[in-house]
Amino acid sequence: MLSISIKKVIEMSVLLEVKKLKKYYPVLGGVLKRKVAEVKAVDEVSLSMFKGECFGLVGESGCGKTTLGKTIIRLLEPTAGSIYFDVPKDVKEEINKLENSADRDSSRLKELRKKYDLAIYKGIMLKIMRRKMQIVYQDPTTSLDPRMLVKDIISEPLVVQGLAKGQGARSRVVEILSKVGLTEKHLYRYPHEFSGGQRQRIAVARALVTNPEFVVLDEPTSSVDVSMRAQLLNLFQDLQKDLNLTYLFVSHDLSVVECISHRVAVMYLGKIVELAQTEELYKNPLHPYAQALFASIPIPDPTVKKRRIVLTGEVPSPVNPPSGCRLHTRCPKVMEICAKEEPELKDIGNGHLVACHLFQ
Amino acid sequence: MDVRTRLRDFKASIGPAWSELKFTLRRIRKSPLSIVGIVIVMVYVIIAISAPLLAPAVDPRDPYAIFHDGYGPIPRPPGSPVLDSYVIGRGWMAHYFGTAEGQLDIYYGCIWGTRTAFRIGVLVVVISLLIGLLTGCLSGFYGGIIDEILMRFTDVILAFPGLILAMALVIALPLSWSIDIGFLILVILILFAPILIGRFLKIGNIRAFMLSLLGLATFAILYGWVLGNPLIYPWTLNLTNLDKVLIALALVGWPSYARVIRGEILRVRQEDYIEASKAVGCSDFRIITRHVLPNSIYPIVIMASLDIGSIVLTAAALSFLGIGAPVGFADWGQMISFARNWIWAGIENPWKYWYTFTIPGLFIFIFVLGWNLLGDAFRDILDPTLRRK
Amino acid sequence: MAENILEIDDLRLNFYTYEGVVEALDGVNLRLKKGETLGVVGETGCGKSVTGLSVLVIVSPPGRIEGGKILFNPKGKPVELLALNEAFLRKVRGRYISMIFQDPRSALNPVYTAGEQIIEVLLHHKKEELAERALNRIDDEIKSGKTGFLTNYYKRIFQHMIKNPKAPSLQLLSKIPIIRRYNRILKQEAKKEAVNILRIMRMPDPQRVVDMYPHELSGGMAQRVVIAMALACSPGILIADEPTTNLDVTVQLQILQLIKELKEKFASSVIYITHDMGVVAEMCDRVAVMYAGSVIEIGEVLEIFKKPLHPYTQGLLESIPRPGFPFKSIEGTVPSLISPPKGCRFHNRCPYAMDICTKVKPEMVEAEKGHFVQCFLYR
Repeated sequence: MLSISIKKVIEMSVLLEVKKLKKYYPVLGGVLKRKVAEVKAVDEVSLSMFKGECFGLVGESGCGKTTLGKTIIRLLEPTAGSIYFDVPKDVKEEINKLENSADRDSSRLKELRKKYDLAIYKGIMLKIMRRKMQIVYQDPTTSLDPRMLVKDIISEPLVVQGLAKGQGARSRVVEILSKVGLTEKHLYRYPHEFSGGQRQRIAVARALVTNPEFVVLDEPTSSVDVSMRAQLLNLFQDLQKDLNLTYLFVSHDLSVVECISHRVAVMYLGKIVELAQTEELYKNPLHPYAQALFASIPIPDPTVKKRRIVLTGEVPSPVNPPSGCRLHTRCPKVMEICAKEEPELKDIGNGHLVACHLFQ
Repeated sequence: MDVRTRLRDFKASIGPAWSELKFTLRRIRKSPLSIVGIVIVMVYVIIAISAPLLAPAVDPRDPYAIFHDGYGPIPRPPGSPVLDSYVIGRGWMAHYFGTAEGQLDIYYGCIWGTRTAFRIGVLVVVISLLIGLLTGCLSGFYGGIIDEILMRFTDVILAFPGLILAMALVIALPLSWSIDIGFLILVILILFAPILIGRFLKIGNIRAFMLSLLGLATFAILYGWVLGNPLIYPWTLNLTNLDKVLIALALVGWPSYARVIRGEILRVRQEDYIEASKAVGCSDFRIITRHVLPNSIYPIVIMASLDIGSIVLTAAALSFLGIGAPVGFADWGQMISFARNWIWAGIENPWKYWYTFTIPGLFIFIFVLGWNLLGDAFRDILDPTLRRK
Repeated sequence: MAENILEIDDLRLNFYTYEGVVEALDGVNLRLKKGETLGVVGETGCGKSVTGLSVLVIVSPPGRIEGGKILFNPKGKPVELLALNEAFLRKVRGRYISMIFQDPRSALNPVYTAGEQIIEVLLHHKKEELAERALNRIDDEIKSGKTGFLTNYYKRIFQHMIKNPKAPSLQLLSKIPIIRRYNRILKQEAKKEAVNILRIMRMPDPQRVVDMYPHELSGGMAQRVVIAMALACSPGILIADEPTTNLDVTVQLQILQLIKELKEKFASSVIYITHDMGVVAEMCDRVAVMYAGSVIEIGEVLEIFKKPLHPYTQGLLESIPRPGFPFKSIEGTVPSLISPPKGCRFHNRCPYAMDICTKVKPEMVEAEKGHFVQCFLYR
C-alpha cells in the first residue's frame, strides 16, 4: 500500500533532481591554516525525488544524510554539483544533452544553469526559492527561538518573504495552526510552555506556512516520546496527502522510515550504497552494509530470533575514506576488486539500485 | 482589524509577558539579598532626584558647589549650628553631618554627591556598553578577518591602564574643549562610521544611516542631560576634570563587554533556531537584532550593573588623588580627600573627626553594595539555565 | 529457585522545585532475581532513570527519597540500602552495584585517559588484590636478584596493605616523596588489569586505548570503557540506564551482545532501563512497565508481549510503528506530576476507566502466574 508500483513511477513527475552533489569541508592545519585535508561529507550523490512521495534517507551518524538534506535546500553551500527543482521536462532534457556532449562550457548551458540550477542561486532568487523548500529539525527545543511568541515564530517566514503582514499573516497563521492540530489560544505562548510533541508541531507549522512543495524532515521523531511519535507520523502523512508535499525523511530509526517512506536510500560515508522501494529494500537488501543495518534493528517480538551480521570494526573517518569501495575494510563479503575500484550505483531492475561489485 | 480583536490580541499578547513577570517577582521574593539590593538602589535614586528638596542649594547658579560656612580649617562635629548669616538666610540651620576642612558641609556634599555618582556610573557604563556591543556584535556575527581585527583592537585597548589614561587625559585635554573642533570630530565619526561599516558589510545604506542617527541621538541625549548642566546649552561644552575622567574610563571600559557579547553570540549562533531563520530567508541584520541579541544580552545586563558600582569606586579614588572633580564640587571622593589630614587626630581620641571620612565612605560603600547585590539578583533571575529549576 | 538479589518496596521520591512538589515516584515495587535481566520500560518522565539512581542512593537535591525500602541481598544477608550511611554506601557503589549511563562521552572525565579512569575504580575497590599481585612481583624480583634499595620496604608496605588497605600509616607513607613510589608499582599492576578488562570488553587494541582520552574515542568505544569501569569489580547488580540510545544501530548491536556475554561471565544481574521495546524483547528475561511514577505491570517478557494486561502496556505495544498498518497512539498526554491525578494515574487516558479508578489507586495483583498488574480490571 505504501509502495509505488512501477507504472506509477514512470508516470509521476520528478520534482527534485540532484546531480553529483558534493559537500566537502576543508580541514585547516598548520600555522598558516592551510587546507590539509577534506572531510567528504557528501561525495557525488545523485538522486531524483518524485512529487508527492516520501523519500527516506537512512544511515548511521556521520554518513552525511543530514548534510545532504541541508545542502539540498541550500542551508549549506554545495562544493560542487547541481540541484534542479521543479524544472520543466524539456529544459531538463536540453541540459542533459548539453552536459553529456562535448559542449560542456557552452554559454547556453551556463545560461540554463544560472536560471534553473539551485546550487548556484544567489540573492533574491535564492530567497524566493526558500519559500518552496523548508526543513523541520530534530530537536524542537532548540529549533524554536525561546524568546519569541508562537505567533511570531510562525508568522516570521511570511514577514521575511514579504508574503503577508498584519491581519493577513494572522489569519494564515491560524489556518496553519489548525492544520497541525493546535488552536488560536496557543498563539500567545512561549515555546517552553508546550510539550515536546506540541513544539514539534509548531516547528512543522512554521515550515508549512509559506506553502512549500518540498520539506526536509531531519529526524523529526527522534526527540519525541514513543506515544507522541505515532501522532506526529499521522500528522506527516495527513499533511502530505492534504497539501501534496514531497518529503525527504532523514532518520537513523529504520523502523519508522519503513512505515512512512515510499522509497528509501541507504548512505554510508557520504555515498548512497542502495536505493529501492521500501518494501523491496527491507525484504531483500542486497548491499552488505544495508544487510547489516537491517539485521541489527531490534525487533519488538521476543519469539523472533534473527541471524546477526555483525560488521567488525568502526566507521572510518570521512577525512580519509578507504580507497575503492568504502566498506571494503569491514565488509564480510569483500573481494579483491573492492579495494581498487569504486562500484557505481547501478539499477538492477525494478528501480532497485545498488553500488556493490557483487552486482556489477 | 476591528477594535474588539485588537483589544483581545493586546490582552493576549500581554499574557505571557505578565506571567513571566510574575515568575520573576516570585524569584526576587525568595532571595532576600536581591530585595536589599533593589531597596538600596531605589533609596539612592530617590535621594538623587530629591536633592534640591533634601539639601536646598545655597548658590542657585551652581548647586554642585558645596557651601562654605566660614573658612576655618578645623572640622566641626555633626549637629553644629550654621554660623554664616547668608547660609542661614538660605534655610540652613545646622550641619547635620558636620563640616569638613574649610567648613564644607558634609551633608550637602553627600546628598548632591549622589547625583554625581549616578552621572558617573550611568554615563560611563552606557558609553562603554554601546561601544562594546557594537564591536562585539560585528565581531561575533561575521567572524573571519573582521573578528580578528576587532579583537586585536580590543586587546590593545584592554592593555591600557585606565587610571593612567585618566590622568593623562586630565592633563592633555584643555579645560574648555572648543566645540568646533573636538565636538565636530566626534559627531562626524558617529555619523559616518556606521555607514562605512555598513557599506563594507553590505548591510544596506538605509539601515546604516538609521544606525548612525540612533547613535547621534543617544550621544546628544547623554551629552545634554547627563554630562552638561541643563542651564548651559548642550553645544558649549565646559569639560571639567571629572568629565575627562569619565571619558577616559569609558574608553577603556568597553573591551570586557565586547568580549562577553562576542562569546554569547558565538554560542547562540550555533543554535538550531538561527539556522531555521536562515532557512526561512532572514537577512543577517534581522537575525542579529531579532534572534541573536535578545538571547545573548543577559550577561551584559549583569555586568553593567556590577560595573556601575566599580566605576563609582574608581572615580572616587581618582577624586581622592586630586584628579577628578574640581575642588568644592559635590563628589564623595572629593569629600574623603578633604578628610585627608583629619583621619587620625592624635593619640588621645584619635577618631575625633570620624564624621569627615566615615560618612562619605559609608555612602560610597552602600552605593556599591547596592549595585553589586542588584547585579547578583539580575544574574540569579535572568540566567536561563537557572530559571526553571 | 533463584532468590531475589534486590527488592524495592514502596519507594517514594519527590522533587522540590520552584513550581511545586513533583511526586516523581509513587510507590515503586520491584524484584530482581539473581542472574536475570530485568527490563524497566516507560516513557520520558515515568521515573525509570530516577529509580535506577535511587538504588545507588545518588539522587541529588532537589530530589529527596521520602520513603520505602531497598533490600540488597547478594549473599543471604539482606542490607537495607536506604538506611546505610554515606561511607558504607561508597563501599557498595562500584563494587557491588554499578551503573552505566546514557551518554558515554559525558560519563567519562575528559581530562583523564580511559586507563586512568578504570585504574581509579580498581584502586578504590580492589586494593588488596592489586597489593597481592604487586607483592608477588616483588617476590619475583627478589628471587631473581634484581632489587632496588627500597624493595624490602615495599614488600613490608604491600604486606601491610593486604591486611589493611585503609591504614592511616599507609596514608602517611604515601605523602613521603621517595617512599611513596610504591604507588607507582600499584598503578602498574592496576594498568595491566585495566588492559585485561578492556580486552574482555572486546576493545580493539586495548594497549593503545588505555592511553587515549575520551574525546579520541568513538561512541561505541567510550561506552565500552564505561562498561569496563562498571564491571571492573564484578558487581552483583549492573544498572544500565539507556546505554545504547545515543549509539548507532550497528554499534548498539555490538554493545547489546557484549552485555549479554558479560552477564554470563560476571554472573551479574542486570536492570536494563530503556524505552525501546525491541531492545527489551532481545535482552530481558522479565520486564517492568512504569508509568507516571509506579510500576504498573511486571512479568516474563514472552507473557507481556503476547498478552499485555494493563491498558497502558497494550497501548504502548500497539503504538510501535508497523509497516502497512496505520499509526496508533495513546490519547492524551502524561499528567503533570506536580498535582497528580487521584487514584490510578492513567485513568484520564484509559479506554477502560471506571469510576473507582479516579478515586483509589489500585494495588498490585498477581493476575497470572508470575505476571503482576496494577489495575482494577483484574481485581
